[in-house]
Amino acid sequence: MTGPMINSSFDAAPVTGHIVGGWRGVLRQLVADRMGRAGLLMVVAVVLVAVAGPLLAPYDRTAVAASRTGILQSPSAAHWLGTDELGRDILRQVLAGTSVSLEIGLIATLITVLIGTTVGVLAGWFTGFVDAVLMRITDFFLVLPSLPLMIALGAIIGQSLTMIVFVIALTSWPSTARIVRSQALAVREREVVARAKTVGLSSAGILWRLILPGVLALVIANAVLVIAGSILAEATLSFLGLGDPTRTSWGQILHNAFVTGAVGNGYWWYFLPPGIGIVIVVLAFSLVGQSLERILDPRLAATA
Amino acid sequence: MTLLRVRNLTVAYPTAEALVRAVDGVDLDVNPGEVVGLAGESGCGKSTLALAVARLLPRGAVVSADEMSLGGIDLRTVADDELRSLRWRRLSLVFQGAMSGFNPVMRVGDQIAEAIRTHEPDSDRREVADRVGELLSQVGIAPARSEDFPHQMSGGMKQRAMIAMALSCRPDLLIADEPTTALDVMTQAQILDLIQRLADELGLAMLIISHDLTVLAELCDRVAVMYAGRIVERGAADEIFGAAGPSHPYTRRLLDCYPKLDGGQGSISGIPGSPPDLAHPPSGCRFHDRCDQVIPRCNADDPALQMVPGSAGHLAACHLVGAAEVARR
Amino acid sequence: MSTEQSSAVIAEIRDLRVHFPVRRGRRRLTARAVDGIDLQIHQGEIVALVGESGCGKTTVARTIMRLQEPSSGSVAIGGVDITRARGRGLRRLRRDFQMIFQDPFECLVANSTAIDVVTEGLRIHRADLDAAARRTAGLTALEMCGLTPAEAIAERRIFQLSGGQRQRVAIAAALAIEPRLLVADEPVSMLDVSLRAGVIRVLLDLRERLGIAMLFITHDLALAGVFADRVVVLYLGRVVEQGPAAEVIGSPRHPYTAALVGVMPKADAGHRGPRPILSGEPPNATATVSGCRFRPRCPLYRQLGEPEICQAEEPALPIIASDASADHVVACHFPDGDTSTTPKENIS
Repeated sequence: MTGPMINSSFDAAPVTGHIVGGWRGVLRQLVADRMGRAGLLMVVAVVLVAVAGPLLAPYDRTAVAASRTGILQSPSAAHWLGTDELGRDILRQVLAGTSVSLEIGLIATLITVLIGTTVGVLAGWFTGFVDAVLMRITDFFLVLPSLPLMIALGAIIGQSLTMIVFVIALTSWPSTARIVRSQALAVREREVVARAKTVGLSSAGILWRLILPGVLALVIANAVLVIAGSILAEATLSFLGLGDPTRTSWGQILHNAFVTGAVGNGYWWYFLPPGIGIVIVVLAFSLVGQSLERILDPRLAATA
Repeated sequence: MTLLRVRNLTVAYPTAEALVRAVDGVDLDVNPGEVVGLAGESGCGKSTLALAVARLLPRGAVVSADEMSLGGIDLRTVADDELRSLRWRRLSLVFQGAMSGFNPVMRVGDQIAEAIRTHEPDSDRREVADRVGELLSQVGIAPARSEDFPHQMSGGMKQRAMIAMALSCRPDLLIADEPTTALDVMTQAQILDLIQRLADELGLAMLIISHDLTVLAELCDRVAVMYAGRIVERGAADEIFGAAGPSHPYTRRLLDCYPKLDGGQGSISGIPGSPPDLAHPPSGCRFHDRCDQVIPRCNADDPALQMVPGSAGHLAACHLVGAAEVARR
Repeated sequence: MSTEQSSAVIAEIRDLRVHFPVRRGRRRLTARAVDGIDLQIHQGEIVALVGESGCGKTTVARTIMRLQEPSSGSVAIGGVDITRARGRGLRRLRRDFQMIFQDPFECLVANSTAIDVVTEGLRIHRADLDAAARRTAGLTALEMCGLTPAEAIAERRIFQLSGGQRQRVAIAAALAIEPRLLVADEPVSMLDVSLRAGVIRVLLDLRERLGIAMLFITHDLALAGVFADRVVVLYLGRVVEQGPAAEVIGSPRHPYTAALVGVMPKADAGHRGPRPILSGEPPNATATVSGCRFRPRCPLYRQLGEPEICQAEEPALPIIASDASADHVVACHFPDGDTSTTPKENIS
C-alpha cells in the first residue's frame, strides 16, 4: 500500500495521550468557541458566587421573622429577594444554595466518574467474559429508577444529602461506563498498543500508560456534563421532598416554595430565583461540557 | 484551443504566524485529449492545485489567479449554479481514497444513476439504466454488479466504479488525485491500463496527480513536477522520463530514489533534508539547501522556468539550465 | 552462494498456520490467512516477504510477534519456541524479537520524547541498568540511526518529528535492546519516496554492524529485489517461490512471481506496452481451490492447456527449475514453463 506521508486513517484519531497543544491548547480552544466561552464565564461566575456569595448577604439564613409581617415579603431594600414563609431572607438562601448545589454536583460526579471509568476501562480491555459480566452489571444499574430507589433508601437510611449523592452516583455511573468502554475498545485497537505489547509492556502497564490516558479526555468532557446532570438530579429530588430539609439547596427552596403555595399565590421572588439559578448552573456546565466534547472527541479532533 | 488554462495561480492560507502559500504562482495547461501529470511529494501543493481548479477548497483559502478557465469559462468568477452544471459535465474528479466515498447503504448502480440524473435531469429511467450498464462495462465491471453494495466490491473494483461515475456525464476533463494509492500492484496495473484505454477510446483530457513517478511515466503525455508550491519542471513525459532524463536537479534526484534492480544495495538513494517551511520560504531557489549542484547564485536568485536547450516545450526552473550542461551523476 | 546456510539460524518457522473463522451471511467459513509456511532466517540475513494484500504476509509478521495466535505450527527464535510462551515468560523473550510498524504516525505516543521511546524497552528488559546507563545506551542507538546530534533529538517530542525521523526513532528503540530478529512491516511504504533511502540505509547499516537478522515485509518488489538477500513470495497463505533476491526477481520461475515482476512499475517512458496483467483480484482466503491455489488466475495453466496435475495436486516446495540454483525453489508443477510471453488478459 503505497502512500505519501498522509495520516493513515480518515477517522483521524489522535495518537494516545497527545492533544494538540496540550491542556493549555484545549483551554484556548474552549475560550475561542462561542458556546464554550459563554459556559466558562458562567461557571466562573457561579463558583465566585458560591464562594463569596454568603459573605455578601448580611442576614443569617436561618434567622426567622419576629412577627407575621416579616413573612413572605416581596423584594425590598432590606430583603433584595424578599422573605419566605418563616421570614428568612431568600437572597441569603439562594446564595447559600449555590455552594450546596455545586458541592453535590461535584461529589456525585467524582464518584460516578471513578466507578464508571474503572468499569469501562476494565470491560474494554479484557473483553470476553469479564466484559460480559461487567456490562450486565452496568445494565442492571442503568435501568434502576432513581426515584423509587431514593424513596426506599430514604426510608431505610433517612433523608440526607449524602444519600442523594449516593443515589445520583449509583444511577449515573453506567452511562459513563459505556462511553469509557467504547473508547477503551477503540484505543485498544491502535497500533500504539500493539507496539507496546511487542516491546514487552505488561497489561497493567498498557492500561495505565496508554488506555487510561486515551480515555481521559473523553472522561473529562463527560464528567462536566455529569456535573450538570447531577445538579439537576439533586434539584429534582429535593424539590420532590426527598432531600434534606435542614440543608438549603435550590431544590429544597423550590420545594418549600411549592409547599407554601408560592406558585399559586404569585410569590415569584420565592420560586423564580432558585429556578433561574438551577437553569444557569446546569446550562453553564452543559455548554462547557459540550464544547469540550467537540474539542476532545477523537473522531472530530485534528491530529498533531 | 487549450481546455484548461491556469495562469499564475496562488492559493494561500492565512495562519496565526504568516501567510502560507501552498501554491505559489503556478501556470498549467491541459489540451483536449491530453493526459497531463502533476508530480510531487507530500506538501508540494499538487492536491491543493486540483482542488483550487475545481473550486473545492475550504473557506479559509485565498485563491487568486491571472487566469483560470475551462473551455472558455472563467472558473474564478463562475456563479454557484453554473459551477454545479460545470462539475461532472465538463469537469469531474476522482479523489484520493475515493473508493471510500461511496454511500455504504446504496447500491453502486443506483449511486451512479443518481449522479447522472442530478446533472442530466431530463433523462428517463431506461436511458439512465442502460448508461450505467455501459459505463460499468467500459471500466471492466460486469453490468450485473451494479446491484452490488460497496462493501461487496474490492478496492480495485470500487476505484473503477468511481471512475465510471466520474465519466457518467461525459466530461471534457477528468482530474484524478492519486488514483492508484492504496491498491495492490496488480490492481494498480489494471487501473492504469484502464485509464490509458479510456484516454485513447474517449479522447478524454486528464490531469493525473500522483506522488508516484512510475504512475505518471506510464500514463502521461506531459508532466509537471511541483516542489514547495511551485512548478520546477515541465515537459513531455518522453523527454523527462526518457533517455535524456530530467533537467531539474530535484526531478533527477527524485527519479533516482526509485530502486533499480541492477543497481544493488548501494544504489538506494534519497534526498537529504526536507522541503522548506512554506510559511517562511527561503530566499533564492527553494531547493537550494538540498541540491547537490548548488552554485552561489542559487542562494539569492529564485530561478524562473527556462527552456531546456534543444527541446520543444521542456522547461526547468534552474540556473544551470541553458548554461553549461548540467552535470550527470 | 551458500554462505547464509553456514551462519546460525536465528528464526525458524515451521508449518505455520493461522486460520480465522469467518461468517459470510449464514455460512461459516474459515479464512486460511497463513496456510503452512516454512521459513528460516539466518544471522545477518535480510529476507523479504512479498505478495499482494491477502497473501498473509502481515499475518505472518504479526503471528511471529505474538500479536496473533497461530492455529498450528511453531516459531522458534534463537532456538526457543516462542509460540508456547505466555505471560511474563513471553515478555522476557520479547527482547529477542522486535518489530518496526508500517505507520510512524500511529505507533508512537506523540507526546513522548524521543529518548523516552528509545529507553522504554531498556527499562523493561535491562533492569540491571540505571537511568544514566539507559540514557547513554539510548543516545548511542539514536546516533546509530542517523539521528544526530543525538542530545538535541533526544529531547524533542515525537509529534515534532517527521515520518522518516519517527521511523528511525522506532528502529533505535528496537535496536537498543539488541534483538536477534527485527521484523519490519512495510517500514517505508508510508514515507515519501525521497525519505525512504534514509531509513533503508539505517537498516542496512545495522545489518553490517550488528548482524541483526531481518524479515522485511513489503509489496514493493523492486525494493525487495534491491534491499534483501532472499525473497520469499507468498500467495494465499503459502510460499510459492523463494530464493536469492536477484535470481527470484531477475528470472522468476513461478507464473505468479513472473506476473508481479512483469507489472513492476518503472519510471521509464520506454516502458509502456502490453504487460502480463493477471485477470481478477487476489482471492480472499476463504476460497477453496482443488490442486494448485493459483490455478484460477494462472496464465501458464491456460497456456499449457489446463493440465490435470494442476487441478489434482497442490504443488509443494521444494521444486527446483532445471537452470536455477539450489537455493531457488518454487511451488509449481511447471517451473520450466515458458512464462515470459503471457498474453494480456481481459478483465472479467
